[in-house]
Amino acid sequence: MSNLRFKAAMLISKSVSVGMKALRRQASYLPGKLALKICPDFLSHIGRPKTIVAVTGTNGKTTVSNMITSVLTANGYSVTNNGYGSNIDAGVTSTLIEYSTFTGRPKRDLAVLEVDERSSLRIYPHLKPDYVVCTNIMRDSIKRNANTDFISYIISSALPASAKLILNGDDIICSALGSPENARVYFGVSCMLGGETSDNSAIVKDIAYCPNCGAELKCKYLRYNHIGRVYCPGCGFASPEPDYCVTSVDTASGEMTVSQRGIQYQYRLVNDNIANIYNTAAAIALLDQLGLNAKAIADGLEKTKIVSSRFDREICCGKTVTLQLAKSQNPIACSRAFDYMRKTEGNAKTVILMIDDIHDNTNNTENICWMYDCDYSPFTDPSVSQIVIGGPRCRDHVLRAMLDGVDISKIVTADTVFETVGLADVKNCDSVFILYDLYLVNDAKKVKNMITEKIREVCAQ
Amino acid sequence: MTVEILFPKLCNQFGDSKNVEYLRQCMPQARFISTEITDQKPYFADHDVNLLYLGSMSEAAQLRVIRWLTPYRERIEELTAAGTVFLATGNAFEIFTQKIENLTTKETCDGLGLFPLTTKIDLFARFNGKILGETNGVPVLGFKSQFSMVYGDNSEEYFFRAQRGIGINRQSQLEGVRRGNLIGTHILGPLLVLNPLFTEYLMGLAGVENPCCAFRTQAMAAFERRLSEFRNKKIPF
Repeated sequence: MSNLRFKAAMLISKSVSVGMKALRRQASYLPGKLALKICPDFLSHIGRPKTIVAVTGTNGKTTVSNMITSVLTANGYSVTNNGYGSNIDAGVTSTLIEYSTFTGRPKRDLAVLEVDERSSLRIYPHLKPDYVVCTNIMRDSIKRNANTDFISYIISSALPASAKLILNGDDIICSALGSPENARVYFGVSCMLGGETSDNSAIVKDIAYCPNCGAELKCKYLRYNHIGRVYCPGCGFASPEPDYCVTSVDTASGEMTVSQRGIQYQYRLVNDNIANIYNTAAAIALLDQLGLNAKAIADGLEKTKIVSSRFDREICCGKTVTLQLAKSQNPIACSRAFDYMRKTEGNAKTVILMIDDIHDNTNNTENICWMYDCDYSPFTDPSVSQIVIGGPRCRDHVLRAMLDGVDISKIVTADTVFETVGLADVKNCDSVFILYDLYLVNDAKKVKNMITEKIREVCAQ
Repeated sequence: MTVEILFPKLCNQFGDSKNVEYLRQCMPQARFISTEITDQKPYFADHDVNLLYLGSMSEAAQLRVIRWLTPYRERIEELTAAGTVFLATGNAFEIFTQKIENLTTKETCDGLGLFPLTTKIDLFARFNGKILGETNGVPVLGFKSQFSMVYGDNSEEYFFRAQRGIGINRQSQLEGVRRGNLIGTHILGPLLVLNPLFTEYLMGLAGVENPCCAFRTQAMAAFERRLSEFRNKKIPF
C-alpha cells in the first residue's frame, strides 16, 4: 500500500514540478508539500543519491551549502541542491523530486541539502544523510526555535548513527550534537581575529555551565556569544580540538590558512566577516571529507562568492555602499551584522536599519523580544555618525538602542523603509550601510539604488 | 534598595538580560545582586531584599532551578508574606507550581508548590501569542512564546484578567499568578521595557518614591504605539 501511495505521490508531484518549471515558476515547495500529503513517508521511498550531505545550524547554513555546491560544481560534480528553495521538509522533498525521474530514481549521485534545524525529525530518519554539517547552534527565532536545549534535542534525536558529523569545535553546544556512535570531525579558528575576550560580557550566551558536571565554564577566549574555546575547571571537559583549523587570516592579501592533518593549506578568504571565516572552514572540512584535495577546494573557492542577496558592496563617488543581511528575529545574526558594520573601515558611517519582520507587521504586531537579546552597542562606535531606522517598529529600535547607550541625537526614524532615503545624510558620510531583513531584500536593493542615486546627485553639486 | 537577580547566566532566554538592565537604569540608586546557580545560597536567604527577579529558562534549566530553590521555599513564602516584590517572567513562574509534567520526554518533577497548579510541557506544541490586560488600573501587554500551559484554579490569585489573549492556558482568561507582591506571568522578559507604566507601578511596590522609568519619553512612545495595535480588533491574538 505504501509503495502504491509513493508511486502516486511521485507521479503527481513530479508532474506538478515539471508543470511549474514549464511555467517558469519555482517548484521549490509545492511539489514536496503535495508528495508528503499523499505519502507521509515519501522521503523513505524516493531514490536516494549515493551521497547525501545535510547542512544545518542556526546561522550560516545557506552560505555553507552554497559554498560547498559552488566548489563541487567548479570541480565538475553535478549536485542536487536546494539553494534556491525551502529548507524544510517540503522544500527538501521538492528538490529531490526535481532531480529524480518520474519513477523516483535520482538523476545525480550527490546531494547537498540545506536543512532547517526544526525539520530534522521529519527529514533525517528517512533520508539518512551520510554527512551532516552543523555550523553552530545559537538562539534564534523565539517563536520557532525556542532555545538551544530544544534545538540540540531535536537534531540529536533525529541524527542516524551512520551519519558522520562535521561540527563547529568552537561551539560547545554544536560540538556535543549526536550520539557517541556518530563519527565526527571538528572545524574551528585558532588565530585571533580581533575582539576576542576572556571575560563573558556578551548579552546572551546560550551555555554557561558544564554539560557534564554543572560547574561554570571558563573561557580561554570568546569571539562572540558562546563561540570560542572553553573548559570546565571542575571535570576537565573542554572544547574539542579542531581537525580543520583556521590558523591565520590575512585580510590584506585575502587569504586564510587552514591546518588539515598537520599540513597548512592556503585558501582564498571568501569574506572577512568572522561568521564567514567559520562558514568557509565548515565547507573546507566537508569537502575534504568528500575526498576533494586541497588544490581542488582552493580552486573552487576562488570562484565562490557570498550571494548578493546577503552581502553586496559597491563604491559610489568614493563612498562605500554596503548591503548587509541582518536577519530580524535572529538576535545573534543581527548582532554579528551590526558588529561587522562597526569593524568595517570608515570614520563617518550612515547606517540605514530596516530589519522589521514584514510578515509579522502586516495586519499584526511583531514580537520584538528578540531585540533585547541583540547587541545594539556597535551603534555607539564613534565611526557611526547617523542611524536611520525605517519601519513600523522604529520606536522600539530607538528605545533598545538607547538602552545600550546610543546617542539619540544620531538617530532619525521613519515608519516606512523608503522614507529612510530622504533622511539619510549621504553628504557628510564616507560609507553607507543598509542593514536589512531577509524578507525585505527587494526593498533593500531599491533603497540601495536610491541611495547611490542620491550620492551621485550630491557629488554632482 | 536591594534587587536580587536570580541566575542571570542561566535564566535569560528571551530578552531578560536587558529587561534587568532596564530595571537597573530605572533604579540607579538600587544595589543589584546577582545570584548564580553555582553559588552556595541566595542573598535573600539571610537578608531582606526589595525585589527578586527570575527570568525565562530552558525546560532543562527549570529542573535545575527547582532543585536549587527548593530548600528556600519557606523563605520565599516568608518574604512574600512580608511584601517583597518577586517577578518571574516567561516559564520562570512555572517553578512556583506543584508539578511540571513534560509530555514529550515523559518526565515529571515537583515544583516549589506555592500554587495549586500543574504545568504541562509539550515540546511539539509551541504557543505564540500576545496578551493585553490591566492590573490595579495599569495596562499590561506583552508577548508569550512557550511549550507549556498551566492548569488548575488560579481564580483567587491571578496576575490579571486577559482582555485579549489567553491566560495560564488556552481555556483561561486569568493570566499568571499573584500573591501579595509575588507576580508570575508567562509574558516574556522585556515585560518591563514594554510596559513603562507597569514598571513604575512595580518600582512603587518595591519602595521607590515617585518612580519614573528610564528613557520615559521613548518608552512611552513605543508603548502607546503598541497599545493601540494591541487594542486594534483587526490584529489577531
